[in-house]
Amino acid sequence: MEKSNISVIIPIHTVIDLDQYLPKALESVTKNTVQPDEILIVRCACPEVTEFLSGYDFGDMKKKIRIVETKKTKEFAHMVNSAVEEVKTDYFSILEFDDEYSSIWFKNAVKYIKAYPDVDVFLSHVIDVNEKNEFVGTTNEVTWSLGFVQGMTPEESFSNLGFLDLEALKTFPNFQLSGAVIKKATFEDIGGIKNNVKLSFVYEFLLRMTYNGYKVMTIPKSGYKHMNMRPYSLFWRYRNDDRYKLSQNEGKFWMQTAMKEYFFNFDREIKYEGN
Amino acid sequence: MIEKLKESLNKIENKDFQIMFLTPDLKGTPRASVAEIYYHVKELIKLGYNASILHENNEYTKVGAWLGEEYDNLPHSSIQEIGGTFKVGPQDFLIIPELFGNVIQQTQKLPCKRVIFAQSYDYILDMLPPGTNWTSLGVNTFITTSETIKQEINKLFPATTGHIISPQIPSYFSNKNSLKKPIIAIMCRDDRTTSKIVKTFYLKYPLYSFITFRDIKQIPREELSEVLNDYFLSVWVDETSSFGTFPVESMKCGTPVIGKVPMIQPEWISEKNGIWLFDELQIPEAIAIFSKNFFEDVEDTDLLNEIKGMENKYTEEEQSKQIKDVYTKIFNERKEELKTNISRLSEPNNLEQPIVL
Repeated sequence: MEKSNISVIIPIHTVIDLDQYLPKALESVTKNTVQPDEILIVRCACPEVTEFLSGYDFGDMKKKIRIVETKKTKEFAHMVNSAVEEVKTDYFSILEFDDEYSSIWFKNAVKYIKAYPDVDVFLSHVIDVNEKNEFVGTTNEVTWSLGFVQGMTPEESFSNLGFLDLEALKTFPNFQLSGAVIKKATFEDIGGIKNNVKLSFVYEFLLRMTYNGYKVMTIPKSGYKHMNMRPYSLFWRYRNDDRYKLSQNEGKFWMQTAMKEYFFNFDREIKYEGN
Repeated sequence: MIEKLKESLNKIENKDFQIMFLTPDLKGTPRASVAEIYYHVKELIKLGYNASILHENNEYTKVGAWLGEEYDNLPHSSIQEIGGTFKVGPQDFLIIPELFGNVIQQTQKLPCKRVIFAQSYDYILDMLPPGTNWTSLGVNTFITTSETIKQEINKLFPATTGHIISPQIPSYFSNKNSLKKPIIAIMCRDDRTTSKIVKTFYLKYPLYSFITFRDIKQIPREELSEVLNDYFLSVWVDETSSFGTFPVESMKCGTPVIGKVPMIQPEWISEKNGIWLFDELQIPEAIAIFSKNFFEDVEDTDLLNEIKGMENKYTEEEQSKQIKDVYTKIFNERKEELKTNISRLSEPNNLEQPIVL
């Protein structure tokens, strides 16, 4: 089978619904006609996760899977950054355990890497579903709208289609990084994903990428199914869990923070003091 | 008179005659029918003939900007400039596009051979004075682009002889196997049709509102081949088209076409080589279905294989051969006409017979 030069990173920070979703997520990888070279499951040091994974039957996939433990925290950004350090391929992709790749994703990712070697992040045309697996919308496709990324001439606007730039991001922040295929070297150069910007970590990462001149494009193929607001997921907790819940003002604060932080390639301490 | 005709006959045999192609001024707008005229002129010059573009006014916008610089260098002359010095003899040929029906009447008294170049069936009767036909205006030869149009023209003007020269699609319209972008190349004869299709599609399928449509009418030819290679779909509505250059160009670039079948069905259309509809209202839905399949990577292999079959059709080589054959035939027919007239004039008993030049 063709080598993809892509690793898949699956961060696991909880066992809630893990037995329900992880098999589907892993199956979505195996269903691809072009396979990733390796799957890194990065887990927090929580005992229940350790226990779940040590008893999990990965079947035929076992030889392809590596478990990476992060001792720092169970925060998403830390887990991903730790896993990327372990990645042996030139590209990697993040798969949330409650999400799925489409069976055509890696085949297309390999094609686009070959055609666009200078692109650093290939976003997927993401299909969003709710926890009942019902279609709710799509993400990342907006880069293909004429005028989303402005050009100096009409011709330039056409040639910009599919790509993301800083100015466009400033007006439209809603992008999805999960499922994207990312160049490892670029990710490390730029300092990885920041934990301290809370819910705006994807936005801040993309702002920082484009600000530094790295290239981000959307592959126009439905490559990834993302479950929105699964109970106990990160963003669900920001909205519903009393321990993590963010007020509307704080939500705004973190988005504004992203707009200030993308100049820095390191994760600065930030405190929210308002209400 | 006999000596003059003999001289003309000699001139044809020695390639010492003019072939002038009357050409409309498009003011820089690309159009396949005018491109074809230029291809004929270029090829005839290559064959050693004295062919040129003849345009009405001195202020004529050449086609180099959209067809290629080399075409600006072909011989051009303007009727306005040569005016009274415009001289043609029985050995010369004036090629008149079908849309210049009035010119056919105006040029009746010229001693040269006039040939109609009928690329669009739809325009044939537009400027033709009522009660006249090509034959009554002294034209008995035409060139067209397909057997279907030839037959239709012969139904209107039974006494004319038709020759077929298929259009050529330049070799730069070839499939470079580019990764396709979710952009639709659209070409409709009526701009309102374009607007209706685009707006209906966005209203009925907001999920696909990010898909960009691009009207390709103004795009220079060579650039168009790149555009068609990149785009995932072409949409074509031209009810009065007689050939359909744009869909063939698309297919040659590996881009499927959704189109409305024109009144005269082009000879290259097959059941499987495109998504051909009779109802324009079905086009937005067809685009939505095609788009869904594109994003999900569902390939219609039958369609793609059929499109591949277009790769070797309508080539420059094929047309060059047809140009050589057809014009040689027309020149020979003219020689025979002149010989017949010489022979009539040589026999005193036939002096009363009309001489048709």
